[in-house]
Amino acid sequence: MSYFEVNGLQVRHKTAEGIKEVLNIDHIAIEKGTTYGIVGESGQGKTVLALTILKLLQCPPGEITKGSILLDGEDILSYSQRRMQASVRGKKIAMIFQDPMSCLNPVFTVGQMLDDVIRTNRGLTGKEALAYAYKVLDLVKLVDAESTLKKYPHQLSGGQRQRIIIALALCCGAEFLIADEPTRNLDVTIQASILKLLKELQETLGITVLFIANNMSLVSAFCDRIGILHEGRIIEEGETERIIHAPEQAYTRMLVEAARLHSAPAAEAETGEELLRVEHLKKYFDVKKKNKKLSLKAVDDVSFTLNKGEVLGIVGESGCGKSTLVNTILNLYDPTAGKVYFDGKDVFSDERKNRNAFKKNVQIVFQDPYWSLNPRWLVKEIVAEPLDAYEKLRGQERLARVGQLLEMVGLSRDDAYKYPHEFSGGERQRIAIARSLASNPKLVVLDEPTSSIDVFSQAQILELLRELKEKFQLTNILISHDLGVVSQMANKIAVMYLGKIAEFGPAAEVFRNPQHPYTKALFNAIPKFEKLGMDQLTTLEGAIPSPINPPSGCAFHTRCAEACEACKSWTPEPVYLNEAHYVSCIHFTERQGENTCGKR
Amino acid sequence: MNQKMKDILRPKLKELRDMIFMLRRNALTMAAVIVLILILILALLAPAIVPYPQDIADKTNLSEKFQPPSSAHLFGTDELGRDVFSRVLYGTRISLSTAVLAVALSLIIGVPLGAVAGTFGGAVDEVIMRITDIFLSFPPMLLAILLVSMLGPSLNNAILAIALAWWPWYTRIVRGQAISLKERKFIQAAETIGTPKWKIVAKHIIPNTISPVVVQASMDMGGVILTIASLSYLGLGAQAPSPEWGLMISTSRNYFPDIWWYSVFPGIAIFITVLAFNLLGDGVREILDPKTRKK
Repeated sequence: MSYFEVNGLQVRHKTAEGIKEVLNIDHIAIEKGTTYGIVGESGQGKTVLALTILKLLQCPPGEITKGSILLDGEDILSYSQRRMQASVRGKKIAMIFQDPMSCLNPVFTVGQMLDDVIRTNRGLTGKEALAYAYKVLDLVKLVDAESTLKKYPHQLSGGQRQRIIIALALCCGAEFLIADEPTRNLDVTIQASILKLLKELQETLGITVLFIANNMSLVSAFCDRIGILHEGRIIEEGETERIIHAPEQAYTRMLVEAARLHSAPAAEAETGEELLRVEHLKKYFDVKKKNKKLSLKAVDDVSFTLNKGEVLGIVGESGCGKSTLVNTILNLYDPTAGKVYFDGKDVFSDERKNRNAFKKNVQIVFQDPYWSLNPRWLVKEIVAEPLDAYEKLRGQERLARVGQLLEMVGLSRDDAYKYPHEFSGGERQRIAIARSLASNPKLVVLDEPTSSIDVFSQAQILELLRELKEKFQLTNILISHDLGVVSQMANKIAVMYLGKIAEFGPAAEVFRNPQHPYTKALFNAIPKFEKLGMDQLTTLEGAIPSPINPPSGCAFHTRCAEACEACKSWTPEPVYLNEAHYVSCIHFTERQGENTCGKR
Repeated sequence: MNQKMKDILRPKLKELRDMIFMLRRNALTMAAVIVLILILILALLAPAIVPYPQDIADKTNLSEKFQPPSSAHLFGTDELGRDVFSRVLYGTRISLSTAVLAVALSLIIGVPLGAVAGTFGGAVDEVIMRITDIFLSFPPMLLAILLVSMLGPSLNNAILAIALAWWPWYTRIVRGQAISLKERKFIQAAETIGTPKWKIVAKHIIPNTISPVVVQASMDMGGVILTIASLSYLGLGAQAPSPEWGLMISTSRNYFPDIWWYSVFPGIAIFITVLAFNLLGDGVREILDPKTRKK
C-alpha cells in the first residue's frame, strides 16, 4: 500500500449542456517522500483533481460519483467537511496555489498571517511563535526575515509571496503538499529558485509532493514519476526518465516535443535592406512617490536595426521593458527621447501621411486571443477592421477578401459568420493573425503569440507564422519569455534587462554560446531534457530591482555571479564581438586590464 | 432560411437557451418575467378588451358614480361613474410606454456621453463628469419636479424631465466600463490597426457596455414608473381625463377611505408592476454578472 492513493475516482459536472465527466482516474499511487507530477493542458481536470483531494470542490455543480482517495490507508473522501477541516486540511495536506497574488489576504502583514497559523496549528504564542516564524522563514530562504514579517503582501515580489505561501504550508506541519502550478506567472529565473527550494524541503523534511503543471519541462526536472492527464484520464504514467525519452502515447510525445528547446535555431534567412532603425530610444514614465517626482525608466537608451525578412526575438524577465519597447516603437506610447526610422522615414514626425503609412505597414498580434478580439463582433467584422481603415472595400468584395484571409490562416470561409467565443484559443489566434495581415503590412509584431494557448495549437501557430513570413516576406519582432518559441523563430536576439539591451546578436550564436552573465543565467534557468534533475539549474537570487531607482553602474551587478567592484560604478557600453553581436558588460570592455575582477 | 442567416442566429439562440436555463433556476425572476409578459399583453390588448372603452376619456355617467366593485364593474366606478377596471387596464399602456420612453431617452443622452468621457479621458472627461455631478447632486425626484414646473405640467414634459434627471447614472456606469475596456487588447489592436477614434467608441466601446446598462435600465424601469406616477399625483404629469395611475390615486384621495376601491386598485397595479420590474432587474443582474449569483 502506498502513502497516497487514488482509486477509481469519478467526478462529474452539471452544466447547461448536461452532465459532463471531468475526471475518471483509475489509479494513482505516490510513495512517501517522493515527488509525483501531473501534467496536462488547461481544461484537462488538473485543478479539479487537487480540489477533490482536499474536498474543496464546489458540489453542486460538481459531483463525486465514486472512488476513494487513501492517505496513509484512510479514505479521506468519506470524511465529513468538519473532519477534513479539523484533521486533514493544513494538518496533513497543504496546497500551494498557482496565483500567489490573490491567495494572500492583502490586509494582513506576513507576521500576522504566520502568527495566526502557528497559533492554531502549533499552539505556540508570543515569543515562541515568533521564534518559530523566524525558523520557517529561514527554511524558505527569505533573507531579512525581520522586515519581511512587517510587510504586506503587495510589498513583496511574486517569488517572495510564493515563498510565504510555502512557509504557511510548512507551519501547519503538512507532510503532503499539493503544488498547483506554483511557478506559473513567475519568471524562469525565479521559477528555478522556487523549484529548488521545494526540492530541498522535500528532501530535508521528507515531504511528499504532488506537483501539477501544464508544461513538461518543469515537471521533468522536479518529479520522480509523472502521470499525463488528458480529458480527465491518466493516459500514461511512469518514471520521469522513461516518459521523457520513450513516451508511448502520441499526446505525451507532443507534450515532450513542445517543451524541448530546439538546439538548431531557424536557419539564417536571406536578409534584405534595412527596414527598422531604432536610435537611442527612451521611454520614461513619471511616477509620484511621496510628492517626489521620479521617473520609471522602462526603456533606457535602446538602439538596434532590423533588416527586411529578419525575425528579432526579444527576451527577458517580466518588467524588463520588452512590451514597453515595442509599444513605444509602435507609437502607442509617446517616446521620451530617441528616434525610430521605418523604411527610412521618421515614425515620430508630425506628418500625418507618415504616421498613417506606418500604421498600415506595422501590425501586432497580441498575447491573449481571448482579449484581443471584440467578443461582440462577428469574425467577418474583426478581420475586416484594417480593411475598413485603409481600403474601403464594400459588400461582396470585402467579404471575398475576408474569406481569402481566413483561408490563408487555415480557417474556412464560413467561419466569417461566427463569434470569437465559438473558437478555441489556437483558432482565435489564427483570427488575430488574419486580421494583422489584412492591411498587407511589412512588419508584424508578435507579443507572446503562443503563451496563452495550449501546447498542441502552439506548434501549429508557429508553423503558420513561419509559413506566412516566407510567403509575404514579413519582418517580425517576437516578444516571448519562452526561449523554446524564440529559438524556433528568431534569427536575431535581444536580451533585455531593466530597460537596456544586455546582449544583441544572431540567434544561433547567442544560443550556442551566450556571452553576457545575464544571458547565461536566463538560458540555464530552463530545465533541459538532456540533463534531468534540479542541480543543473542555475538561479538568479533576488528579484529584479525597481526601474524607478535602478542600481548604479551596471544594473545587473546586484544579481550577477561575475560582478566585481567596478561594476557598481561603471556603466557598460556595448562592446561589439563581431559586426552583428554586442554585449553590454564590463568584462568585455577595453578596460579589462585595469579592472580588478580578474574573472576574464 | 439560408445558411448564413442560420449561422448568425445560432449563437443568439444558444445565448437565449442559456438565459432561459439560468432563469429557470431562479423561481422569483421567472415569476416576475411571467407577470411582466402578462402585463405587456394586457397593455397591448387594452383598447380591445376593456369592458367600457368610452370610459377612458371624459365620458360622464353621474347616475352610476361610486358604485362598489361588482360583476358589472370589477373595480367599481369613480366620481364620474367611469369603470375603474377599464381605466386601470388602460393605464398600464400609459405607464409602460412612458417608462420605456423615459429610460430610452436617458440612455440616448447618457450612454454616448459616458463612452466618450471614459475613452478620451482628460479634459473631456472632466467636463462631462462634472456636469453629471451637478445633476447627481439633486435627488432625481426633486430635479424632475423642478424641471416639469419650468417646462409646464404635461405627460410629455414629465418624460423629458425624468430623462434629464436620470441620464447621469448611465453616464457613470458606461464611463467606468469604458475605462476598463480601454485597457483591453482589442481596443489597443484597433488603435494599432488605425481605426478612427469615433469608430472605436461607437463600435468597440458602446456595444461592450450593454450588459451592465441593460441591468441598470431594467432595475430603473420600476423606479421610473413610480416617478411618473408621483409626478402625476402631484399634478405635474398626466392631466385629466387621462387614466394614469398616479393621477387616479391623486383624484381619489378626496373620497378615501369611503370609496376605497378608487385608490386601492390603481395602487395595486403600481405595486405589482414596480415589484415585477425590480425582481426582473435583480434576476437579469444575476444572469449577466455571475459574481452576484447565489450559490
